[in-house]
Amino acid sequence: MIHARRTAHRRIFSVLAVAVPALWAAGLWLRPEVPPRSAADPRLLAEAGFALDAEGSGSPPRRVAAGAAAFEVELERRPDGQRLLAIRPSAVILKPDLLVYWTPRAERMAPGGDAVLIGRLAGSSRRWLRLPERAADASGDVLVYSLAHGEVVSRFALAEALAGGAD
Amino acid sequence: MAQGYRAVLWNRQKLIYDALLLAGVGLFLAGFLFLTPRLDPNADPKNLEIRAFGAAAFVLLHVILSIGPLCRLDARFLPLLYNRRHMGVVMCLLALQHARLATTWYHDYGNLEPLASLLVSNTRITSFVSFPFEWLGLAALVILVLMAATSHDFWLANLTAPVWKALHMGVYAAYALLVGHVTLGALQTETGLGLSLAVGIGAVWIVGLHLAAARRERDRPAPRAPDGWVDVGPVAEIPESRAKVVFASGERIAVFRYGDRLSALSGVCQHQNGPLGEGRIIDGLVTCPWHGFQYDPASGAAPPPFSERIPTFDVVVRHGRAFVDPTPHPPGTRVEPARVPGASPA
Repeated sequence: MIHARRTAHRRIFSVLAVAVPALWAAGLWLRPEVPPRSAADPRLLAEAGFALDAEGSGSPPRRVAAGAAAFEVELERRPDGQRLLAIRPSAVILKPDLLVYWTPRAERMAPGGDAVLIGRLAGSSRRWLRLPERAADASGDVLVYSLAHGEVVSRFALAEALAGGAD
Repeated sequence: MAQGYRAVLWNRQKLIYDALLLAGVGLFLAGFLFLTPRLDPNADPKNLEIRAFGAAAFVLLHVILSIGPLCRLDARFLPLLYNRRHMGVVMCLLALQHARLATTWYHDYGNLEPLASLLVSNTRITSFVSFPFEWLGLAALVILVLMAATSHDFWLANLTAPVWKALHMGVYAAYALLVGHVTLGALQTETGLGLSLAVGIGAVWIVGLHLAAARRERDRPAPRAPDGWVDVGPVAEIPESRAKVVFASGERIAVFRYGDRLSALSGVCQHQNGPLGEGRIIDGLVTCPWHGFQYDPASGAAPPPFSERIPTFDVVVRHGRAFVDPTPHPPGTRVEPARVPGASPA
């Protein structure tokens, strides 16, 4: 560069040497506590009473392919007798608002009045979902339902899935 | 060198450079899209795509901004500088893709035009952390597009190198705007330590590197003899086929030694104002280390059919020391080289 440009370069970076780190530091220092930006945020699930982790004995994880999706499922029993279903999609399911229901009625293809909402899926992360008392014997079906599309994305029998035989 | 315009004067080095550049960008994008969902299973796939292109552009901008000062500090980095403009154009295309994806994803489903929505959806300009960071990104993108559009030698030749360089120093403003864009945008919601540290370390690296190079580049006027000629120093200190550079009359003068002769010419290449004094004599011609532009050391003229001309200076040897008259001759004026007593011809 010619002398004038070299001088300009030196002056520009004398300013940037202060301004850029200050901008970065101030941006982090003043960063507000952002409320959960996703409905699947673990903090909201915890506040709503969904179990996020499990302690106790459980079944080994099983893979189940049902409908257009595949999952890794696992059943856990807590010391207090509460049963938890761990469910993790093998790949991100590109459907909006994926809710998970337990239903005692295997023949239904949509969550009916006797279905129990047990949680929702988010990406390909594993969710621990609390099963209702009626599912203590691992009976009934699990429905994965896209609320926005109003369609069942996947359905599998809980007992068969845990035995490793669904679909 | 200048001999009419062609879109791109391809050669083997440029093809290898561009192939490595594109492979690097492809690997970065693939790695980002493969690894990020595994590190953050809750990440939104569309948002990942937006972030991948934005991150690729921002990382590439760091690479581009590092090349100049690294070359000033260590000549081994010079090969990276050779085709840096293609890197800049690729970076601009990545940034445009990031902007396109973000604008269509976040602003394409309302009752406003996407660009209008982008500009009016957040107008909290009196807030620091809630400042519309999209405006910062858009301003940087305008600068980057302007630079990419004027990156060809056509514009360099018609605007002249000093004006073209001044225009392209806008990249420093673009960089500051992008640090603001990332800090007030992504870093406000992505609170992980790793990303915040990466942006901070990147800023310190770029600023520190440029300050170090600027410090080294600082010009100090050379001492003068009573008759006003500039004392370059002992001739024996000038390596064969290389130059010693002095600062006089407001610019650098390069005094080249080749065999038993000395010639002095402007230390500024006419092409991109590269540091000609750091080049060497190849095939009897002074060769710029940046892009290989060549000049006859005695006349400062590029060999035919090329048309570049740079100023020359009178040079003499007195008692084993070289002295230069700081008054330049018009570009392309032949000056008889000074003889170095006792030296062997080249």
